[in-house]
Amino acid sequence: MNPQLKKGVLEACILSALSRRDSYGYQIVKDVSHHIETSESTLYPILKRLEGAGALVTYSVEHNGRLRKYYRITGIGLEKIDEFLDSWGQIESAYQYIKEGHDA
Amino acid sequence: MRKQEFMRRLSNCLVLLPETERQATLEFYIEQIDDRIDDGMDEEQAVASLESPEDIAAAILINRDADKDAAPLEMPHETANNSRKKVPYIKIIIGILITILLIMTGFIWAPIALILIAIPVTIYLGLWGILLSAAACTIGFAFAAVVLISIGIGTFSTSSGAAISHVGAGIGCIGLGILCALIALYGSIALVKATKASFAWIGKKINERKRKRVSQELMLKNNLSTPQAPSPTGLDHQTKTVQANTDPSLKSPKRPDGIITREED
Repeated sequence: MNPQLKKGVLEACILSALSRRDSYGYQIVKDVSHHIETSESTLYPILKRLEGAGALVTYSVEHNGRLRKYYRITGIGLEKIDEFLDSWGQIESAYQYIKEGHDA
Repeated sequence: MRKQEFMRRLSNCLVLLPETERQATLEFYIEQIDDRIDDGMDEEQAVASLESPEDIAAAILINRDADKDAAPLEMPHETANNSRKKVPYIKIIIGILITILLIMTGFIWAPIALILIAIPVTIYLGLWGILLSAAACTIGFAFAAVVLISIGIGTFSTSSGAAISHVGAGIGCIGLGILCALIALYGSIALVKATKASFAWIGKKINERKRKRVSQELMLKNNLSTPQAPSPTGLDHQTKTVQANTDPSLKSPKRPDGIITREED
């Protein structure tokens, strides 16, 4: 998939995973990779950016004698999901346009 | 590869990141490995299922380069803090000797340098002088034209021949005046443009030199040879950093002394 397109879709997928429940890195990768191919090294910069934008917050939970970092979605993050879903109409229309040109 | 080896390599690749950011990245990947082990993998499998430390670091650095809010990359603390002490003594001694030599031979090179500077300055000021006199001539011709034409008109009734020659000379003065005005105007515009262009050229040369030095320092830090060309963005340095650490023969990259702090472009 086109990397820029993938970045946007992946971001929405991560936010969606977090909108279901708070989660941690490995779990997010497992959840999301059922739908779109991803890995930690793709996930990490996106998580960092989303945290910087205030779309998610983090907290640590003790697990097996170590700390595990959990991510929780914020109002800004939920808005970003809405934005993504709202933009879908545009993407579909652009898709149709590209497809018509391709088939003609 | 064991967890410790993976972490050491990743840490080496991220040496240019600010310390807190590097720490956060390492913690994230420790957690990923531990979570895989909890999920039933053994340590080797867990590490193998991640990408290589070099690929991970490259992705982080490239992503960071696109992020305008990211904090600037840093030189490692040990070189940044002690850089002044680490300049080799021999360099200082040579520097002092050269300074003394320059001062003692001042009576030879100072006049030559002065002349070399004075020549272009004189030519430049001379050009402005010519343009200034052209402007002065314009005013002179304008006055002469007014005077000659008024004399011509005033004496028309008494001697028409002299009057016509006065008016003719006056019109000639108008022509010469216009010519001088044009020379002054276009000459000044051209000279101003030339001045701006030469300042811009000097500025560019200085910038190029600065950039070259910075990239040389970065190369030196990574035990690489001098770069062929200065890179216009920071990205090049970063990818080269990653490659430098990818080299398996470089188990622990030594840093040469004498690195001065990093400059901003």
